[in-house]
Order: sequence, then C-alpha cells, then structure tokens
Amino acid sequence: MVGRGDILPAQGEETVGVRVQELLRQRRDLWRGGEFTQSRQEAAVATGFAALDAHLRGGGWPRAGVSEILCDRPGGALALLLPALARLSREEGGAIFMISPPYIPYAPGLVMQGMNLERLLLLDASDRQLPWTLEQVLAEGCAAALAWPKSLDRRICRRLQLAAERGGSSAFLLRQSSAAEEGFAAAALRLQVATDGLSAAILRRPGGWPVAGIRLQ
Amino acid sequence: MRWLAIHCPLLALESLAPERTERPLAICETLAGRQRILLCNRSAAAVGVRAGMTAGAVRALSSQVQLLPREPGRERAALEALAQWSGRFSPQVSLSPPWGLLLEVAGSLRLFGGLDALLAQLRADLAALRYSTNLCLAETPEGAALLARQGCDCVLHDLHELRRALQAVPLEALPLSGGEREALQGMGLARLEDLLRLPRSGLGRRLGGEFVRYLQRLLGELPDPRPLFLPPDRFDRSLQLPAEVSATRSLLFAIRRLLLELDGFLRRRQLGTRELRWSFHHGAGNRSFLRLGLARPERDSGRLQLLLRERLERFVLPAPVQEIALRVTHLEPLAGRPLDLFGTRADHAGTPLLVDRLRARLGEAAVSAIEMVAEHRPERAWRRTCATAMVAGGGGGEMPRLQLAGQRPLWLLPQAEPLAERAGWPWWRGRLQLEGERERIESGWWDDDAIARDYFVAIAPAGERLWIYREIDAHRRWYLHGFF
Repeated sequence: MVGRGDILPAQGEETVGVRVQELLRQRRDLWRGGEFTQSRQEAAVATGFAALDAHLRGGGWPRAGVSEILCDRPGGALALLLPALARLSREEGGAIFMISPPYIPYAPGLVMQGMNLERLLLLDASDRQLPWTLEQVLAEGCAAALAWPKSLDRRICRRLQLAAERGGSSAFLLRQSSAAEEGFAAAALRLQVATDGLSAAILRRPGGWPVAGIRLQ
Repeated sequence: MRWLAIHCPLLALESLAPERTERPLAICETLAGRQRILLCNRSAAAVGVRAGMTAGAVRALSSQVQLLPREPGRERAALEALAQWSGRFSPQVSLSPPWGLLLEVAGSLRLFGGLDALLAQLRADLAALRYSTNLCLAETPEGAALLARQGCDCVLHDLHELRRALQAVPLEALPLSGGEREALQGMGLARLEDLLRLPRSGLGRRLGGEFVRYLQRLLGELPDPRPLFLPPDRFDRSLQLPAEVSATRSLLFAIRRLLLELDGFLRRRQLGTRELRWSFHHGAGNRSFLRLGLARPERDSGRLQLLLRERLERFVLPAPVQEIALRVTHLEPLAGRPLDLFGTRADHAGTPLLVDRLRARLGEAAVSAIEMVAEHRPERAWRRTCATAMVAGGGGGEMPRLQLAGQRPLWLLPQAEPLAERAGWPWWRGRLQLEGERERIESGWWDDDAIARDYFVAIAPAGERLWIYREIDAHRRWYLHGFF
C-alpha cells in the first residue's frame, strides 16, 4: 500500500509531499486505499495548482458539487480548469460537457493542454434552455459540466447543486466578476481569478474563511 | 412442461381497431355468399347485434353500427406481432391460429419470480396492448389452447386438474366434422367427458386414429412437440388507427403498443437498435416520416417512449394520421455495462441515453463533439463531429500526436476580428504587447482559400492573452483570432 504523501519525511521543502501526491495521482494503474475510503461527496479532483489545492476541501475541485469561478478573461477562467479537465478526460468516467461556450473551443489548443477530445461534448442550448440542460447533465452523472450563464437565480442554483450531488457530477459556472454583485453566491465554492490568470482568491468555500492572493503557477 | 395458452377472442375486431371505442363495431365475414356477423364489441352487443346475424339484420337494427369486413391478413399480422412480443416471456412460442398463442413457461418462472408474478406482468402488458385475452395454463398445449378457446381463464397445476376441467367441454369445440359430431350426438354424447368414457379402440374405428391421437395429446398421454414461432429478422409493423388523429400527443398510445412489440422482438434476440423509422399514413398515399436515431443500441420500450415523446413535441403532422408504421431493419448487440469493483465511481452508463434525450429536446445538431484535423490553416484545424462515435466508443483512447510549432489558444473566434492599429501597435482594450516569436502560416494555395499570416501571442494591458495575426500582404492588417 502506498502511503499518503504527508507521511514522507519532510525534506526541508513543504511542497515535496504535494509533489509526490501529484505524481502518484498521475499513475492511472495505481490504486490508492485513501481514494476508496473517501466518500463521493468529499472526493475532489486536483486543480493542478498545488497552492490552490491546499486551500480546497479534499484538495481540489469538488467531484459532486457546483463551483463558481469569476474571471474577466474572454471565455472565463477555462485555463484554470484545464489541468483538472485534462485529468478527468483521461480517467474512467463520464463525459465532459461544455454548454453553449461563448467561442469555439479550439481543438488543437485543448489537445496541447492534455485534453482527450473523445470525452468532450458540446451542447447548444439557448439561455432559456440552459438551466434544464445543465440539470439533466448533472443529474445523469458526468465527469464535469461547464456553463457560462449570464444570470442565475437562487432557485436554479439550489437545483443545480442537488442535481450535481445526486449525479456525482462537477459543475463549473464560469462568470464575469460583476456576478459577485448579485447579492447571493451561486455555489458553495466561489473563486475569483485575476484577469492575467496568475492569482486567485477564494471568496467563499465550505468549512473555511475566504483566502486571497493565491499564486497560480 | 407447462403451457400457457393466450387466446384473443376479439382479435378479428381488435386487430382492426386497436383503441377501445364507444362506437358500436362489428366484424362481418362472407359465408356461403351471405355476410354474417363474426363478432362485435360491447356497444354493438348493447343494441342487439349478435354473432351469426346477417349484415342486413344488423342494418335493420341500427344505423349506428359500423360494419367492417374481416381481414385475415391483419389478424395474422397481429397474432405474429403478439408472438414477437411474447418473446419477453418465453423463448418457446408457438402460434395457435387463428387467434391464439402457446408459450412454454416452465423455464421462465424463475426469471420472473414465480408464476403469479409472471402472469401479473403478462396481464399488465396485455392490458397495455389493449387485447382482450383468456389465459389458461395447463400441462399440455392442446389442453391449454382448447380451454382458453372455451373462455376459461385458469391455472391447472397437473394432469388431473386438466382432465377435470376438460370434462365439460362440448363436442362442438373439438376438431370433428359436422357429420361425425351429429353421429356422436345421436348416440347421446354431448361433452368430452362422455367421449372419454368410451373405449379408445371403438373411437378409433369410428372417428379415425388421428382423432384418438388428438385426445391423447390433449390428456398428456402422447408427447406434443410444437413448431416454434420463428420471427422474421426485421421489425415491420403497422397499426391502423380507429379514427384519424391530428395531434401528436394522441399518437402516443399507438406508439406505445408498437414499442412494446418491438421490445419483445428485440429481447428474444438479445439485440437492440439504433434507428427507429416511423411513418405516418395520411390517406391517399400521402405519408410523412420520422426517424429516431440513438447514440447506442437500445431496446427498452419505456426509455424509447420517453425519447419519442420529446421528439414528437418538435414534430408537426402535416395532415391527420390514419395509420402508423414502425420499421427497424438494423439490429445490433447491446453494449454491456462493466461494473466497478468497489462501486466507487458513479454509473455513467446513462450518458448515451442522456445524449439522446438532449438531442430530442435541443435538436439533432445541438449535441456535437470536436476533433483535430491535420491542417495548417488554424480555422480548418478542427471540426465538429457527430457525438455518436464518442459515446459508443467510451473514450480513453490514444492521444493524437500533435506537432505544431507555436502555441494554440483555447478559444477560437468564429470569424477573425480586425484590430485597430495605433502608432504601429495592435490595439485591443489598450496597446498589445507581443510575446515570443512569430509563427508564419502560409497554406491553402491549392484550394482558392490561401492564407499568409504571421501569428503572435499578445498580452493586453489587463493581462488577457490573445492570439493575433498580421496579414502578409500590402495592407499588413492585424486580426484577433483567439483567446488563451
């Protein structure tokens, strides 16, 4: 049985343990006991940014839940999600859905980032059909579903959260920073990513205080 | 061996008018040059129509009764369809024309959790198909069929019970010629019981060896192998609607019946299908078509019905429908569902069905996948594909090899956007900084869509990363082509 990274002797640098974890996770032929005991609700998929993982419950994006990511880049914070999506696309499991993306997801660029396109599905849904589509996809069980909603209301957010929990699916709502002024948070986990993509702040998270100034490199 | 006889006493009527209507209906048959009533529905019986009446007598009774000529071809088709449907319950189905089926069910009891459960399921399905039936279970096929034809609806557990039940059967129900029957009745015999008391050798001399062997098969004294019903390898069924239907919602009943038949048809072959072709007949040779394509082979009538309901909501009938037909020509094995050792992963086997549901609601083209194309021109280096292959394949395949000199963005604009130029620098929400080396792409001179561009990665003042290019021509204009 391979142990968890944190029982390795600290080699001066704290990040060594994290790196070992990372290496172990990349091995698809390795089965780790720790993964079995984790319940689906708490399971997470590493973001690919060690500094960010350290602040997230389970060490990554929730596998069964909704995450809201605010970013003013065109197309939102897709780049931040790509390490996790690339890993999900190469794991066993369901499809990855992009629902009405704002531009064309560019196949060569995605492949360069390690995405397996065979697992990616694009859905065209109108603004009105978006909540229904997202809920269907989440409830059925998918590896991840990405959407770029212009507006959301509390009731829809609640339904999406329930659907994601039921289906064991990760939902990512990619939005502009102005969404922070809505008065309520669409998801239990809410992140703000700087326009240059180099730093992030956690605005809301389950079981923790907000954190600012997380370096993404 | 336990044989279940399914007898449909009203098949001649129900094969022509699937939906129960309140209108009085009667089926007539031409016998010896005269039209006589074969059978009628309850509303017709209420106005006094009886089997055996002449058509003229019915018209004299009431002008409301609709007379339909008997159509043996349709009865046979309906019976065969029923036989296909009953493939869900037993692999051994045999026809007992004109209106009956025989199923050997001993082997299916365990699968369905006992006789009661099997019969309950059978009755529920028959009710959904809207056929009136008598079900009789007995040790011998002849016995079960004979009793079911007599209107019995019973379960006989052994040969003794069967013999007791058969005693009351009148001679008219046995395969005897008119002359033979009259001779027997002249001897004071009226029921099967009377016949069974006589010595077999005497019966044999009087009625022939074949009739004695029939009695022996009836009572289980002789084995009775039955020819199995061998269904055709394609499903092609049509259903006439009792009245013209103009709303798609009202078609759902007929659709459900055809789907149930299809389910049985596919189940006995352990197969599924990915394409259902529906056609709607509007009369005068006009037809409209609806094709339901599926992401992977499917057979479950419930799920198919769900998909079809979504699809029908977007389907407009050009004219009222008189007849509806379903045709399935390509049968495929169903994909198996591997189980995970610990069940820790969610069951994602539902994805193909989900894709079908999304397609039905959002439109065929609304679900797509993307793939790379070996092309230097960036706008042609990808393409949209049908999502079906991806769903069926399951993914996880080899990563395609990619050899590109420069970086590629995550997003591509559908149409490159001209950028302003200020003081010699490209401008997008401020002056753009160029990063790294330029990448020259010159290609496509052979198909009239030649491009000659220098691509750059550019950084906007706020930190956005852009993929831009400059035309290599006299104008040297800047364009925005994608975002990182």
